[in-house]
Amino acid sequence: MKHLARWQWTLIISVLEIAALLLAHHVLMVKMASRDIISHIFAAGPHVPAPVMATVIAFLVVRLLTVLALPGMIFSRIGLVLMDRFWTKGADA
Amino acid sequence: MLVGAALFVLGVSFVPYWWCSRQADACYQGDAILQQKLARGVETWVEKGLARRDFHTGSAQFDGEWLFGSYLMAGFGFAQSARAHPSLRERHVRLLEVCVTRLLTPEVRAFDGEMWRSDPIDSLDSPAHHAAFLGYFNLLLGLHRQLDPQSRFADLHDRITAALVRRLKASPIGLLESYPNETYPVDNCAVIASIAVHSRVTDTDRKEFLGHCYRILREKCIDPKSGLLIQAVYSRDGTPVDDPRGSGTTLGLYFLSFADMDLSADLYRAVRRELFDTVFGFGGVKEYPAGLRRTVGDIDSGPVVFGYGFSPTGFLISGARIHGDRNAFKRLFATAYACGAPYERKGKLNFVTGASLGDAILFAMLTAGGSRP
Repeated sequence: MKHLARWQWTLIISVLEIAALLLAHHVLMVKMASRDIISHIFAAGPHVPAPVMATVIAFLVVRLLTVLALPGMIFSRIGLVLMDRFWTKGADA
Repeated sequence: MLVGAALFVLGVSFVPYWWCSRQADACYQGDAILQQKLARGVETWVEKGLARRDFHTGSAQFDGEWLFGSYLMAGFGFAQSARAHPSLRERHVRLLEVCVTRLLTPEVRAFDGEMWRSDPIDSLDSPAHHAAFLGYFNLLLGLHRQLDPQSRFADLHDRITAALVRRLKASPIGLLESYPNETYPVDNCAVIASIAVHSRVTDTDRKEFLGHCYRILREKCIDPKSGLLIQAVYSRDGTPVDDPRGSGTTLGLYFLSFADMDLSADLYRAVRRELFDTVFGFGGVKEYPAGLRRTVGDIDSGPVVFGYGFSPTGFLISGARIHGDRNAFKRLFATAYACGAPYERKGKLNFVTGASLGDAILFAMLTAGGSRP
């Protein structure tokens, strides 16, 4: 089996991370679409069952990560892969 | 490591705002297809029917208010889109009538009746103010009558307006109570706007009376320092009982745009100056002006995060469109997109984090503006 270079591993892990985030976002979005989650956001409290609150918080975190942080994550990973692939290689040569 | 961090910041600074504001220009221009998708999303809830048990605020009173708010804001959205697009008119007027009919059901009226211990419609001859229900509902009736001059609700519209005028004239502070001993200027904005719309659609001269109402709002309900609407005043003498706040001001200026555009514009400018800000391009509205270091939200503002409130940010979308502020509209739209999580399927657009109330509010806010009845 061919040995993978470090940049290839970085690329594979990044793609898997991004795919997992997008999948989690979509699944939670479909799951949340039929729920009254605004009540839990505006009036969180002891009346909200813990599993429901946990799901709502998970959705909000995943949503913010997907919409706000994902582009930055992709930019930085691509940059690091390119550096690893070309810059480090050039320095080694 | 440094390069990775720099690229991360670069990505976060430009891409999310660009992505989230893609449809903002079309929405600002009143794109019919977009408004139709928003309407179809809300239509699903309206046709299916909602109940108090569909809300989970932990308070039966708030559940009732949210049930009322869902049909009310849906009605505003249908009225505004019907007015803006003749192709949607027939269907949206019918849906507006569904909203009015549902608002008249005992279950929806109950939240107000329970506080007053009398029904808002059955007690129109009594002195109980019922501003929490009647002001908003009467404004919706006015918008329906503007679209359908032969409105089957015309008699009810006349009777509610007469009761509101009589009660305002009798009030020692010139404002109506939403609930016993609770007076909220934002609810009075809706009351006064509903009377102004009634005057317009029935060609009734109330210029002097309405001028007096606007003066009361300016003198008693607007904080002279910030120019923002005070959230609550004492029923006894009209002095402030709460701070000037973003949630009340942004919603109040929306309702006042149906009545007095100058007053609405003054409030909009105050919000822009005192509360509006951007972070990485996204627009946000603070709940409290600088100097008031409050960090917690309540049921009116929603969660307050770093000073920014969910409700005022959503409500100001309407103000930006009504007062022709395209830049602010785009920035607020981007925030609504990011936080609201729009989910489109089968030609329907729903906001996942908003559920029925959020869908209805954003439908009303995003379609606000254009020519006023």
